[in-house]
Amino acid sequence: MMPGGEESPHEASLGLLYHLLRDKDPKGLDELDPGEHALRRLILLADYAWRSYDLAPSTKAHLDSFVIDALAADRGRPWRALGSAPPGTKPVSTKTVDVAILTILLEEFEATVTAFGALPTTSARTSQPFYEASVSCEHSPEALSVVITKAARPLNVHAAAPLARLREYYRPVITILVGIAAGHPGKVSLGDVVVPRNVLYYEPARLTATGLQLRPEHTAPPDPYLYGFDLYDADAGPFGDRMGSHFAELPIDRRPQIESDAFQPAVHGANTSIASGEVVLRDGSLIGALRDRFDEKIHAVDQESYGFAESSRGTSWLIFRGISDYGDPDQPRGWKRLAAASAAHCLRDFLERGYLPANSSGF
Amino acid sequence: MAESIISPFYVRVSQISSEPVPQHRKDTYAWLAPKLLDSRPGILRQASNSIYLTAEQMRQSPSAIQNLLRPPAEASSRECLIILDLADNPYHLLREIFLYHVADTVVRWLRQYERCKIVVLLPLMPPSSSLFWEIDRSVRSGSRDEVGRLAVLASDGEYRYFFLAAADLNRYRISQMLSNDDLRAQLRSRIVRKRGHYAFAGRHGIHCSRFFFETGAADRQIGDLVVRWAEEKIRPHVRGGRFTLVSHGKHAQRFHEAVAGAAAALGSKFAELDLDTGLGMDQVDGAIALVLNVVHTGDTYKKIISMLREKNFHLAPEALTVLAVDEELPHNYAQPRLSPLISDLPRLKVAKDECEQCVIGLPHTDPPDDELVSIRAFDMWDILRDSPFHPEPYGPSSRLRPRLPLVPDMRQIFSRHGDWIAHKIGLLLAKLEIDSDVVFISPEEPIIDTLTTRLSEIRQNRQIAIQIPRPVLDAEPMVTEVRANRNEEWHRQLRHLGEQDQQNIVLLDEFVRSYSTARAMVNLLRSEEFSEFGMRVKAYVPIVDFSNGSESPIMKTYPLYRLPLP
Repeated sequence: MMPGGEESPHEASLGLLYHLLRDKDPKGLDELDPGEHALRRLILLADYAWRSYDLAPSTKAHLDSFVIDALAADRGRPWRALGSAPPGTKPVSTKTVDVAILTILLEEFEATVTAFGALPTTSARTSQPFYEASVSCEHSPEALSVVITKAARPLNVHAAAPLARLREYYRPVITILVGIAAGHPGKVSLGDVVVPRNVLYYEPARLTATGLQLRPEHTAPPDPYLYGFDLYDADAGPFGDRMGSHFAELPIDRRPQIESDAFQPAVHGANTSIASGEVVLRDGSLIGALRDRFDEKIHAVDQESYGFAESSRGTSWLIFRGISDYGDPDQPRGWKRLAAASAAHCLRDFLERGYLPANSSGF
Repeated sequence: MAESIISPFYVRVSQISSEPVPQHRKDTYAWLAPKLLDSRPGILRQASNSIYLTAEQMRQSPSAIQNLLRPPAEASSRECLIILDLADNPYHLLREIFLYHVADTVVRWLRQYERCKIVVLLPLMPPSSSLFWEIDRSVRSGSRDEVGRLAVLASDGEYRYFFLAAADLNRYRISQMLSNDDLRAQLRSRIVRKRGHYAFAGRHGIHCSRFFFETGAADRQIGDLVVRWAEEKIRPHVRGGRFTLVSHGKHAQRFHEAVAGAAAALGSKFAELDLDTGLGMDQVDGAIALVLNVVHTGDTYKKIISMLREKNFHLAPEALTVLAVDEELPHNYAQPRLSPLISDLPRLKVAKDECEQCVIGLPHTDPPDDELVSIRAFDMWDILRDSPFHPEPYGPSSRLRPRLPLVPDMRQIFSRHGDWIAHKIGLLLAKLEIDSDVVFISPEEPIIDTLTTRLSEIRQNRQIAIQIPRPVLDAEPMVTEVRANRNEEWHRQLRHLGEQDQQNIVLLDEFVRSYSTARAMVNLLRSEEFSEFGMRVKAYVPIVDFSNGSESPIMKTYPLYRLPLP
């Protein structure tokens, strides 16, 4: 075994199929020259056969069909189809789960695993952590299966890789990004949870002679009712009590200062947007500037939502963000963990009482 | 008291004829001699021409150097200073056995001429496992005070035995610097062009690139070029000649260290810029001279400039980047003007929607914390599709296994992608925690020699390579053949290493098929029949594994790619 791990069989197989399809001989198999090119393709085929051997049968059958394409007469650029099979017919995952949760920071991952009482799984062959749990759901006859994973690095561009690996082992019904964000003071308080119905990517811009012209991009969860979140009332359930208890149980030295007697986070769902970029906010002014210029519904800013949303295009997804700071130079002490716990517990409460699974009567 | 005789020898290897000693070398001898003679007067006998060995001599009879070097006639009767100057040769051309003969000559002269001092000038200091350090054992075991009459000085200022003042060493180092073009060529050969699937966020949204560049192996060259750039382009153009070198680069610790070293050589301040925390006024003295590791689109550069301007820092008129990797980088769109050291290594940027790896669903490779040691299938076949295949040109005797009918042209692959493969090997050794005092042992074949040369460049000469002739590995029994080769370079190297116990022995080969070559090498190194070697092998690294998954019978094997043969 190579130190640091090996490429997964699925990724290796995709890479080999690409070359097999890209390098295909315009003639059929029977007409291959017994020369260098044909022998090289045989080695490439053998490489694919060897690396795809351990794939799940359904995945292997799907990918094997491309091998036949590679041996048939030329049909343009068939390798493009490798990544474009519709989700329902692309059997690259071995296990269906109801909910997949992506976290970025260690604090977010630990808070989510704790909130769901999840346990590590040993079946995935990768260093990316996968923890599994189940949670009851009022709108489902059976408990929802949940898998929780963590990205190696923050930023939008790095959100795609852990999602791809997650989908290699699981076929999630919905994928949810859980973690922390900077909030706009006056609209949200530390520890509050924001579930945006719009994501604004504010980085794209055009450089002209007169300066930068910002050209932000938008995206939103495919379901306008946010899978039941529109009707969800956080105050009517145990979320507030759970967070109060969570706060009270924190060791004194890890407990952030709060202004009221008890910790009572609010949940913001209606008319909220989140802005996403590559900048760690420490100037205290960007959120306000983004609200003034683009969208006054912006409640929070983070560095992963847009990358997550783009990588989840064509599937169901939501975002839960706990507010850990206001994006200014003074970072409030101890709020990262608490805000991550707020987001995780809020999600759990929503799944238990408000979430409408795709097959439920309320959906 | 009679004046000392100063006798320099300007030695060049792999040359076809003698050449005049360059003036800069003569100047070096004239500068160095008084330092080594404690300012006592001496008669400098400048040689007019080089002493040279041809490439053929370096291959067949490197001991010829012993006959070419003649001590001054007065060596027995007067004080002499002999300067053996090898510093103008590329280090990798100075074969181990050649260095051994140089060391042997030095020791002989020190013993024979007791009033003689010798200084050996080298391009780089040989690693501790080099045969050159036979010199060390010999002089220390001698009865005379030979150590005090010997100095070994490398062009980067590293030294052994003999102390010059630190300021003099630094001046020596600077005086030994190569021309700008030579230095840039060295820099270029040490930049690792890592293949993969890299994501970047830029002003046009997320895009992907096929290459990611690492400059860590070129820290010496970067440091030297930064010093020259600052002396030429910055110091004369900033008030009072005062400036601070400010470096910026992600995941590039050795780059920052190189710039910090350059600042020390220049006598200027140094600061590493973190975009999150910025710079404080107290970190800066005079103008800021920015040095960047890699510039892609120029967005970050502009961000840095506007950030520094907002805080009213004074900027030097020019900034430097080691690499500019986007074709459309607007070098002159803003002040300070951005000057790249290397700008002809494109990273093949493509919009995410057009990225073939994204289209087929391959995840991004995240440098540097998620880097696989082994080669991804996509990358390997990207290389193999460009490589001719042909029957295996070398290999074990047909008695052990038949030659492979079709293998990739590894010579071409090592020439084109050797930097990246060498980087992968370095990464593997680091993960195995055996990346210091490495000795690569391989069969003596021209193709693997191409790779060891690249390894030497990328690893900044922190290794020794020993090549065992194929007839020795194929001999059955091996003992007769090994004894018959007692005077050969490889035999001497293995004996030398056998007396040490801190080396990390790594077997290197281009292919593995039946493990017959690896088994023969292990037998040679570990067998009781050859107890003078007696080495423990830490790893076997074939670049391509054709063994169809069979387990190594002898040791831990770490192929960079497994390629089944149908």
